[in-house]
Amino acid sequence: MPLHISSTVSFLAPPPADDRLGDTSILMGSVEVPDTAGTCGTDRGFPRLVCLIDLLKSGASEELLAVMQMGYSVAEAQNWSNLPAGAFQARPGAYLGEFSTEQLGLVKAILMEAASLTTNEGFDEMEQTLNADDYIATVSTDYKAGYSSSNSKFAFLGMPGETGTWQLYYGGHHFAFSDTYSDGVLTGATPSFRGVEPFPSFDMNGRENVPLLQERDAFATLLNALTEDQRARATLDGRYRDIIAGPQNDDAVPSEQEGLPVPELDAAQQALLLAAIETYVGDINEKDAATYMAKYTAELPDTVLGFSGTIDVNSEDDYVRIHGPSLWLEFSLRSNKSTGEDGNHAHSIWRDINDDYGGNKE
Amino acid sequence: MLGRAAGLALSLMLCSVSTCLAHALPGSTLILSNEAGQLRLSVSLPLEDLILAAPGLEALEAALTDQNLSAGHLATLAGYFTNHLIIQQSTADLTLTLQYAPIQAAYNDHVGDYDLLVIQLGADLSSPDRVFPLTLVYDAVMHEVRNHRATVIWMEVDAEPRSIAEFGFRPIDGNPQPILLLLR
Repeated sequence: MPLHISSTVSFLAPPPADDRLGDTSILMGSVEVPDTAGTCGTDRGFPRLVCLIDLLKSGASEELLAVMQMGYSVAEAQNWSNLPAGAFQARPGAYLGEFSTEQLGLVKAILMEAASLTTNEGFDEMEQTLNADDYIATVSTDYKAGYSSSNSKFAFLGMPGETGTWQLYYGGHHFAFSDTYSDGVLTGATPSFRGVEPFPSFDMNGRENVPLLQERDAFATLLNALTEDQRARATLDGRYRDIIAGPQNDDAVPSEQEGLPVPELDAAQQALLLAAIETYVGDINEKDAATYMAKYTAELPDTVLGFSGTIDVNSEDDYVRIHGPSLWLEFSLRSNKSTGEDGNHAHSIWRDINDDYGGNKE
Repeated sequence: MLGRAAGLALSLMLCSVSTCLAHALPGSTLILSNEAGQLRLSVSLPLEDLILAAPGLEALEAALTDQNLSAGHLATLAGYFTNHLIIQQSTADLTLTLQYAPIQAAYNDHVGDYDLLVIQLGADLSSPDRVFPLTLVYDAVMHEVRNHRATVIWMEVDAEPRSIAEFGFRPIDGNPQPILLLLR
């Protein structure tokens, strides 16, 4: 007797409601860093980062610390997703909406310390992606999804300090920021997921938001600069409707490279490729970004470029990737899912094949 | 008995699998079970992605929901899966027979409405008392839609469904990589 299958299969049963989810905007752009942050000085770097974290923790309640300060494990660090808060509740940490105004100001200071301060990149990209959730909340009727800037999570996996291994975890809908430190040194800034809907721009929370426009434009400029022969050689087999090394797919980076070897690009084209890489690597603080850019630049002789779809990267199922010995970078344009508006929906990821999760395995 | 339980468990299992999906259309879900010495295999996958991968199957779009496909459609579908699904027991290919295949209406909060093709296959086991190990070669849809992934689930009566494999497109020399299926 054959198996009987229910006539309608729901592919997403609503998870139990999380009563910690919020539904109001935290207006991250308007949040002020409190004066107390001044006690940590103004010199950007690891000592100030740890000082700000200590300051935040010193004023946190036991309840807040219980969800924000967790033990380190790769298994916990792997709990990131592109999905909205209501659809992926395994993220560790405290929701941004659970912090007081002053605490949220310190969270902002911490994120600004770990990320770059470049316009439309780094911390600004975080803020704009939060604004995207507030935007979707104005047009979506999917109330279970938890679309709100309140619902991104912030956590320390492991004890922040000059010694030991720990990760600064920040993640929510369409965002994963994962800086791993060991003995005071950044050992990994990936997996680093970026996505946004609507794309490429929207107005929300008093500003125009274009968090991934620079990334798309950098890829499109690069592809447009290729000769016809180079484009043919960079064209990937098959079709890509999403990135392949997304959340919970840590094993998806192929061992074999496919595409156009970067040494076949001229100097100007290689500069465009590096500029595209920098739109991701440049999201972390300037000093650490320079270290990663130097590594990826040195590895260009063994790096390939591939794409599928249009060279303007403006249509559904357009896809670009850069694959080096260490670097894995994917950008995908998908159809709109949450807003129901015309346009596209970007998913992208920067992984470091050796340094994901700080190179740790457990 | 198992059939009814399988239907319920399929819903439950796909729900938990779906939390790993990333706004993409769902991947393939392969559910294996042993019924009186015959291997049962249910393969469910989004019709839209299947047609992208195999435009020759476009006629399936006209099929009625919740009804078995016509003999002609089943034959076309069987031809496609002959090239993209192999199961081996003790190094011998099992002869898979496509029994029926309805298209079902499905819904995902992050994808919306879509058509789900559910294919029911069966095969006589060469060792009926001991299903595993099996070797699976599967690249349906993913041979073209490269972000497509597959999850393999083992079901037994009165037991929780067990996810026993999860993989994407990882060819070796252009051919899909065989997956060894074991119960651990």
